[in-house]
Amino acid sequence: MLKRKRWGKLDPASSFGVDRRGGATKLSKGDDEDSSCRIIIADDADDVRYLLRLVVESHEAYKVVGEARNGREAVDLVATHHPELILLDVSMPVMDGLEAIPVIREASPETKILMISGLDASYVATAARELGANGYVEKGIGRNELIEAISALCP
Amino acid sequence: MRREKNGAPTATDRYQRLIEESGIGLFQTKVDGSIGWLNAAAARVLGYESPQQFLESIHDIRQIYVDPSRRDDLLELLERDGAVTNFEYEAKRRDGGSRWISITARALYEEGRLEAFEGTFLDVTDKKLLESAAQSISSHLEPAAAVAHFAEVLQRAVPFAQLSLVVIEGDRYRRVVSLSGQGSADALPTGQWVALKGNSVEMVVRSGQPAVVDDTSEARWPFDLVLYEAGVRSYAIFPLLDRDRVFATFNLGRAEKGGFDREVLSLVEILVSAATQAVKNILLFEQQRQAVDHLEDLNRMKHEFLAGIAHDLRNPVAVIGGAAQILEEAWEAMPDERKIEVVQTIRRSVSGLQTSLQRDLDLTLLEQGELHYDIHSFDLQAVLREIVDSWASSVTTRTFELNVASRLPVAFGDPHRQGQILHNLLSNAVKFSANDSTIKIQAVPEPNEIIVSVLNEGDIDSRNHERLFQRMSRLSADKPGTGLGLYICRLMVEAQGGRIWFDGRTAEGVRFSYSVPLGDRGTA
Repeated sequence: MLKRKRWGKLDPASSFGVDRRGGATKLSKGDDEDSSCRIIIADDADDVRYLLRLVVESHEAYKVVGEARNGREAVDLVATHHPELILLDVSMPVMDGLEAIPVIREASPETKILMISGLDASYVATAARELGANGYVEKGIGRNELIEAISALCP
Repeated sequence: MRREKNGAPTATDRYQRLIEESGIGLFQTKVDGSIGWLNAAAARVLGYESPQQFLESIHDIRQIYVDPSRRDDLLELLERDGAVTNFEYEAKRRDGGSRWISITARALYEEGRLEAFEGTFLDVTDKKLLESAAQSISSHLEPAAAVAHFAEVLQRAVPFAQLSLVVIEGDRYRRVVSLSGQGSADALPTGQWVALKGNSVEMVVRSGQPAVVDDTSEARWPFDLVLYEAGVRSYAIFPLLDRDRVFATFNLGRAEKGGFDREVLSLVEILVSAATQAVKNILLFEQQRQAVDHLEDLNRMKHEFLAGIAHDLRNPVAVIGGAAQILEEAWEAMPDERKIEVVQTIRRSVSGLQTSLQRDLDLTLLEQGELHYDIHSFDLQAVLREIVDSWASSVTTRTFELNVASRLPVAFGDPHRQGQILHNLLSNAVKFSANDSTIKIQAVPEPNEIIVSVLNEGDIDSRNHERLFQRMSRLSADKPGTGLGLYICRLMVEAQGGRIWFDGRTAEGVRFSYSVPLGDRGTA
């Protein structure tokens, strides 16, 4: 069963505060999974990175430690920070997501790789898995699903 | 000339004059091939100015036979019958072309042996060619093959550099087939619709009469320089008429200037008229086949287009959706500046979508030749200035320098599309240059056109520079839209009678140039 987190009050430097609307799931008391999940976001579109950061950082335990605009930068950041997770876009210039997977795994074997795809091609998901990605989501998915996918890899 | 005692010319002289001045070719040759005599008319048939000139070049009559074995046939007949009537063979002209000759001659004997023969020497090319041409062009329904056969026949009578079949529809025309003749010229691109307005073809469509351009280097007409560079120095356009409507033209280009004298013109006109019905059939067949191809193309384009659009839509839609969701769920808790930031991401995505969609639409129209061009004389300087000013004010990380030497001559084209051409080049220049660098735009008047150049600091992989102007599959590009700008520029530049090229990479940077035809053309 997936553990869900409450969108608790956060420091001003981060995104937004308490979500009082419906849709927020209740925190089960005593849930003590406060271990920080450090995340790197790799996508060539500025606005996509911006929104991903908003969503990710709305979570107490998640922290974005770096942003990359292409596969090369992603690899460099992963080698430096050894994050728990990287959100990796597929189509990027210089080095694309698929190419970056094996390089990331070599540089930082413990980092989980969650592919974010803007393309519909079915072979990409299979290729990503075969290359060693740990998960695969499409860009259009909602915030909750994204958080779910992250939590599956970053408990 | 000898005269009778009373001053009148002698009978001999009268006959001699008759022979010399006769409009009919007359000749005498010997069995061994040497030439006894020939008159001016005979020499002219073969393109020589006089019998003297002919005799200077030709010492053995077999030299003029395209197929020397025909002479053996001729001699056989003479041996057998003592005469020949309407013996036809193909003879070489001075300019390399050929003519069909018909000989009617009687044998001359010396000491009982056939020594020589003399008679009339007629040019029956028209007749033979007509037969050949009509046959050849009817032999195939497929345009390229039919025109190729026709070209073979034509080539022998009139050596040419290039032959095109052009179909006219409404206010535009399209080259259906283009062939290069012996050696020189390149074939011209086929398939794309071009506006008639302001073109030499338009002149022919209006008048229903053939038209001739004696020297393409004078660039009187928009495409003349393109033809010049393709190896065509002079050309003639022959209309094909259906009742009184010009439905197609044969455009014939020659490598030499002034290649169309009256004789050549009337010969080709005859051939073209013989070909008219056949061409009609060919075009009909071609239309039907095109309709099928078109449908297949449309289907494929639809898939590509939709895939391309889907690709372009993903990011912006994901951003808009994500941003809207965040705003909805966290509205009250979000600080104002954060809300504004998020709203701005939505606006940027929408703007990007609009640009993508407009570009996708333009590209489809462009490729199908459906893009409308409003061609007329216009002020190019004003267009360049407007585009450069607009870029300078919205892109502050580059300096834009517009350099126009002096007052530019009037240009000819569609100012809106000309603006788009420069816009695309500037877009590339910005994309491939560093912050704070300078982009230089200049316009230089040349005798027959205006050359516009865009120079940006930076580098380029110039190995494959011809490929820069080709269509790249959108899905294989890194980002939606990259790789298409130059392709779009090329389609637009060429549709207006210009050319575009990669103009070199130096220490100064990378330059692209294109040409714009001059305006103020006499109305066609």
